[in-house]
Amino acid sequence: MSIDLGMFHAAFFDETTEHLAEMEQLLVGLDLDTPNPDALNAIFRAAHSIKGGSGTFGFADMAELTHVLESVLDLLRNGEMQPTREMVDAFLASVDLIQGQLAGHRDGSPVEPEAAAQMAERLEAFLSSPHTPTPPVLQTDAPPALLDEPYRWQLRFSLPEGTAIERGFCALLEDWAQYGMLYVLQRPLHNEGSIVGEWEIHLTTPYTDARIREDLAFFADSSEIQISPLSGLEQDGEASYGFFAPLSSITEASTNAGRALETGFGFFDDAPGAPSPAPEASTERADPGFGFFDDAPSVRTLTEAPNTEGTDPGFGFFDNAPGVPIVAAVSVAKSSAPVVPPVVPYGFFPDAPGAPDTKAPVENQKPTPVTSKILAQKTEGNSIRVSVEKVDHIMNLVGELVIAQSMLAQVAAQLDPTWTIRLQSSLDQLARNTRNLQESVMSIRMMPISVVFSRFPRLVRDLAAKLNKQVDLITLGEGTELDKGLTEKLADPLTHLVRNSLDHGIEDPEVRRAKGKDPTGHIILSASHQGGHVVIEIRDDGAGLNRARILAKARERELPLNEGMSDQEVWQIIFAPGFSTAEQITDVSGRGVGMDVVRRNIQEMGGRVDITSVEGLGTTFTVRLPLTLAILDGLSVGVGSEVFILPLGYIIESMRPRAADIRTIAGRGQVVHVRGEYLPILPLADLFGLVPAVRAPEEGILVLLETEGKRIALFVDQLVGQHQVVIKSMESNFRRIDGISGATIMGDGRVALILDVSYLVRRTGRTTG
Amino acid sequence: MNTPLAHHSDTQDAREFLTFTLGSEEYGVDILKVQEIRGYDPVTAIANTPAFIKGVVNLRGAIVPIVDLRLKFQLGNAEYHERTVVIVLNLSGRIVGAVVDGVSDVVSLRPDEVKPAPEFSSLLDTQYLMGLGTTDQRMIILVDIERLMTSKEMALVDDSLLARRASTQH
Repeated sequence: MSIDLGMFHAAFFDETTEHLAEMEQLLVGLDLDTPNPDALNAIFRAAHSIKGGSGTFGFADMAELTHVLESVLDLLRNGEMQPTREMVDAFLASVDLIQGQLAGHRDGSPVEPEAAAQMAERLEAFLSSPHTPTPPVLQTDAPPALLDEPYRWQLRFSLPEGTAIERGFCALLEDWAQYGMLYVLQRPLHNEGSIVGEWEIHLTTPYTDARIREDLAFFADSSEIQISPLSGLEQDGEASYGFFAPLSSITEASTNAGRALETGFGFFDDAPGAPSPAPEASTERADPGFGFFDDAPSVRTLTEAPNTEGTDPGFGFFDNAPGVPIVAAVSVAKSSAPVVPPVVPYGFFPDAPGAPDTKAPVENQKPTPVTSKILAQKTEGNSIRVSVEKVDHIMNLVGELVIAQSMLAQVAAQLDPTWTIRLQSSLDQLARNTRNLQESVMSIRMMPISVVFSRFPRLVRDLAAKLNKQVDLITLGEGTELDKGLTEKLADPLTHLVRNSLDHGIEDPEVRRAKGKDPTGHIILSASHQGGHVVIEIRDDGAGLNRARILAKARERELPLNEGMSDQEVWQIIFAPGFSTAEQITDVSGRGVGMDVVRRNIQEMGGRVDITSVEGLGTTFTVRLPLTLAILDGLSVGVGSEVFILPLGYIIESMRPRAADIRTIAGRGQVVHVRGEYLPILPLADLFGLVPAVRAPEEGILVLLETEGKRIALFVDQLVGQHQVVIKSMESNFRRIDGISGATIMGDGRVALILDVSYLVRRTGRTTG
Repeated sequence: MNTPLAHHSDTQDAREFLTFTLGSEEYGVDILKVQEIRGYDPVTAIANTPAFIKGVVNLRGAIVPIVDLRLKFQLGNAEYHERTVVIVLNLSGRIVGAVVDGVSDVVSLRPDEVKPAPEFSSLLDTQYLMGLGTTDQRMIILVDIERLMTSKEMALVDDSLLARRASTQH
């Protein structure tokens, strides 16, 4: 069985990205004066996990850098060093660097080793700084000498389905075997060679239980890891534990084990009669009680036989055992050789005289209670990773189900109600169930907006420092969920808006003081659900927008203006391409690119952005988005026999014009006069070569559309209704069609086309006014 | 996804073709490219496309274009009634429906029963032909349907995609 490393790589990249994000978040939120030990531990764990993973996959550069990082973090979390601002800066920089390395490995692009080396030096400087009275001893790196009194642990844990890093787990076992003694009492057998399932291990090791737990938590759900100290009773070779090597021989055996492991785990290949480090012992010294060893199909023991005195008739029960518990059966070997035979170690103990109760191994050895903190450390073990395609496929199927259900309902509605009362109630039930199902499936794609928000504390911190401003960022409603696709697309426009608020909104501390404000500005980033939409607000308590200045600038740039524009309309001017009132262009913002892109991005997601602002008190940008990308709020309009969908986000209003407001411009078609503006009329029927029901605009409907600073009036026969429609791609089986952004399936199963408003507006090719 | 018509032949190297008629000519396409055969449902017309692209339909949630091969090759009567047949083709993941006069049957042809197409044959450009198949006195024009449907002249695929495909082939 070969291991598809690529699959595990993907999991590693995902996990590492999450770890890095977590580190960054915790680092930014770290209180330098009284650092939260939990946070320091969490940062350390994240670094440790990254190191472990990158080592496993052979990304040496990442492993090296995280190793140094981990060393510094280790001192911090042990309280041997006090975190400083410089450290946090360096940590953040190294997080960035690791991110770069990760991207490099993922995309196969080259990574600069110099930067990593410099960063490692920078981090190492902390290690040798006067803060550290004692140089760190790295457990993970240097082979720790066996302690005089090593710990003996009984480990029980279960590796969940999909444990990605098989190699890593095997490396861990190897590590344990090398620096201690490892007895695998139970391993998963249902699937030969698989590591997924229940494990039970007795371990003699210099590692503390916390350390073991940490190592294991990388693979298994930590709530299911049981670590308990082994009692000393087995040491005297009595009773059923007697077949384990006495401690004195462990070292020797483990060296052998280590050697065997080095030779490619070859001892598994020829399992029956495989080399045993102490074969003589078992054959020569064993008394008849051990006779079963010879017949056992695959006895491979690394132990020396226990002292003969210890082998009492109690061992007789082994005769029927299918196999024998194996010492150091590090199942690293993925060979085709028979793996360890079914060993149910405790299964036959109860019959044995003097067999210990497995449930009560704890007797006297340093009982180290598992700290609840570690237990609570990860709850995410209850989630699974599923590819987006699978979820999308289910979404499609459910969409089909909903359409089928509504078609059925339409048919049923035409039947004589006296005959169909029971049918109707069943159909109502079906309708409810399909709706619930649809909502549940939609919710799979939902992610909390904290995924997006989490990047802002860092951004604000860096930017504020650069601009010499004091800013506090407050985020609210981070649990608000929205479609995963949206969270990805939302990051850019939100970043722009936050930068804009910081750069143009929040004043310098001196200015704020002079105005009688708190010198520290505030930016509040909040998200909430409002009636099928996600509303995100970026609110600052800065200078606010200056109406006069915007109008002056707009006049300068000859943008269409009229007297009596509402504030709301004036604020929208800042979204015009190339518009900026910034007196000074900084490298942060002020070039006037950006705000128009922000609005375009948000419109493309089917949303809109509004501004409210009070001069001197601050500005609020309100971004309103649909819950999901797959669904569009649309207005359906009819032309001739066809129905088209217009995305609601682009519609200003729809109206039936008075005949007097319609003017004809020679050679340019018709325009309509709306509140002092002349808007070009685009008849949809002409565009698509349809035969309209009405010819004169005053008999039909004009839908006023706006995008990219231009407005047009789209002429259609009638409004059909407002729907939430599921967007389907035209390109997957067909090609892109000008004027069409996609398609949807209506309640009757027919296809309706979604109009591409940008194309319509561009085609009309006229600016407002 | 297989049609009931699709069954494997024991004959070595023989390939199976679904045959259909366009006017008086009999054509065949590789059965493995055929996803299903269905009746003609009303389509949603798409503006500014060639007349032989009838429009798009909803095929179990996918938006699928429908091409009328009778219109494309000016064969037969382009009438639509309850017996009008659409062959739904799955061409490397892209689904296209083709309207034909009628579906005949499935024939199995050994390589020696397939002759190279002469230059002048049929309305189709030779590059879209796999050859001429002869069985029971019938002559079947074997069409490389994937090449035809993804060709520029069918206007079913984005030019950019075509260009990308061409560049990967060379």
